[in-house]
Amino acid sequence: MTKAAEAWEGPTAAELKAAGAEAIPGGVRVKGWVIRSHNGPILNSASLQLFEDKLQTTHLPEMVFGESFLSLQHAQTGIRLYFNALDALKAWKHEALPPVEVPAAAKWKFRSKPSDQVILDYDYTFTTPYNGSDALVQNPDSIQTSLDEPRNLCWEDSEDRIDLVALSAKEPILFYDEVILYEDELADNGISFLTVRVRVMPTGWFLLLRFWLRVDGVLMRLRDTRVYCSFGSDEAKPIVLRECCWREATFASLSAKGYPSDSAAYGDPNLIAHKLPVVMQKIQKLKLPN
Amino acid sequence: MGTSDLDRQIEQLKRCEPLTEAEVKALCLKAMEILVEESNVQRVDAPVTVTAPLPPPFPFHLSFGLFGTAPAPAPAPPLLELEPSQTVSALPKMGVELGGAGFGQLHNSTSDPIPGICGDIHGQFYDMKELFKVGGDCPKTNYLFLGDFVDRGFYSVETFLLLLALKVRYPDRITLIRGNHESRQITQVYGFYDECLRKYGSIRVIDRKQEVPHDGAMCDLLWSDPEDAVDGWGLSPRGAGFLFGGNVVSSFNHTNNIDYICRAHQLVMEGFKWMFNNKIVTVWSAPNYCYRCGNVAAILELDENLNKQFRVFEAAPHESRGVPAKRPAPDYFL
Repeated sequence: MTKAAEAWEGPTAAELKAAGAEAIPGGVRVKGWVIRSHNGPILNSASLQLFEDKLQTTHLPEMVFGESFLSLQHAQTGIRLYFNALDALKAWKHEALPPVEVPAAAKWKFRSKPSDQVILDYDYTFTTPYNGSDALVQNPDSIQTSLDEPRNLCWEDSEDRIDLVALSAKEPILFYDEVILYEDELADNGISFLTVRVRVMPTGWFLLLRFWLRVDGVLMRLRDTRVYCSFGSDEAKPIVLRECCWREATFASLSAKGYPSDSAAYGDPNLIAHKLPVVMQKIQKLKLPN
Repeated sequence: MGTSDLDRQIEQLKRCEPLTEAEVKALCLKAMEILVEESNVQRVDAPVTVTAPLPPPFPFHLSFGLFGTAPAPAPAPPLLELEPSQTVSALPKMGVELGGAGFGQLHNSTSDPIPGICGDIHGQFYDMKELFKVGGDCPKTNYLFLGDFVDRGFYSVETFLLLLALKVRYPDRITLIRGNHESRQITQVYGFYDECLRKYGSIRVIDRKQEVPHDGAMCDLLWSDPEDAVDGWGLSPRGAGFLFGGNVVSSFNHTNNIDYICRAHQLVMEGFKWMFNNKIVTVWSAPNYCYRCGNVAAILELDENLNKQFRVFEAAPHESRGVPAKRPAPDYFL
């Protein structure tokens, strides 16, 4: 992180004007899209209880940023993409992966234990297949009351690719934020977090939803969802591509390839993503509603 | 090392300026001398006295070996064996104290200043200064810190050195016990180790006498948590680490004739959290944890009649930290 970047105070008025964009509280309005984000505190006891009730579990990540969200809404089509902790945790609960044993577990098996112990078996890594919540909103203002259940959007498999060249251009950034949805330190056995980052440029917006898990000495999982919208020439017909890429590797397999096997070498998922083999990849295009 | 040197070092550390390597070494050696004299069962001066009374039938794995009276299904690790030839620091002794201070008996005694019981700090130096503002300065206030001084925050070195210097200067007025972050393995992953290398170049200066083992009393004391979902004992889904429920805590408190257990180690939004009908309380002392959680922090104060008061406090304002408020810097991520 450079000093210049830290001093960034948002886009200039000229940059916004040139892009036909307008800054709004917590976000930006550009080319028919309203893009907003919010970073709130972790859940307090009362809201934690609400989450536990909704999710039917007493085990939640240590830090759940329950009020935080990223929302991208396109007025003309009613498309709404939304990223939040509650939906991500619903998906975790639904996937319900078996727990991952930490290295100390091997020794633990041979030690004496109380005879009547209960073995908890929920997925404490909070691994989630979540790739965002979406809805078709007829009247953008009615989403909160939602008398008529909003319909889900339709995504179709696609051969297209996210245009990395276009995304590499150093266009002005009209809006940028990073929202942490949840995080857990796995009781000091590693790290698990879910974050979403967004950047909005004059020619399109791009977001990266990332689930990152490192269980020290055992495995790493990276589940990335990238969504790119290029504004194109017709404001009424945005082109939205979604690419999901899951990577996973055990420390043992990395070590066998000659990579380091200590957790300290794997602090930043950006630097090591390419070392983790891809286990699932799919690209989808958003079908515009009629 | 004279008192005036120490006072100067304390003032320097209060400004968040680290000491020289030679000063750190001298401080550690001095701290060791003091800590070596403290017993497994560490009494904290009045009005709170913390002792660790006797264990069975409580969790044998928490007690055996530590106090010598419980059945020992497996050999207990030696908790403290000082070898004069080896570079040692204050930390191993702290681990030993935990047996006492972590599970203590509270009784009233003389009319000493109010003690403050503090949870995790995690290198949040400026927030610890807020804590001293709220609770009062040491030695005016008698402090018991429940461990996890280092890692994750930006100033683990300064935080820990200040606590250590206070311990050397006022040994009877501050008690430090070991948290699970006070171990080489954990600090290597979560920041303190790197911070030491960055600020001093050599980690040897604050080497440990004993690493935290994967089995036995010391390990269990540092890695067990209360759990709502079980009544008795639970095994963590990680396959290692115990969880204990309300029945276990009740029977421990009853056996040892104590009112409640005070512990730290788990983040709570409100700064403290009671569980199991006020039989155990978690105290958390790092406000706005990791500089983003928005939580408040607390310390527990006990007066001469053992009346409890939680003092809740917030993070230090940004301008007093010497670092600019963190605003996400835009980058062209892909």
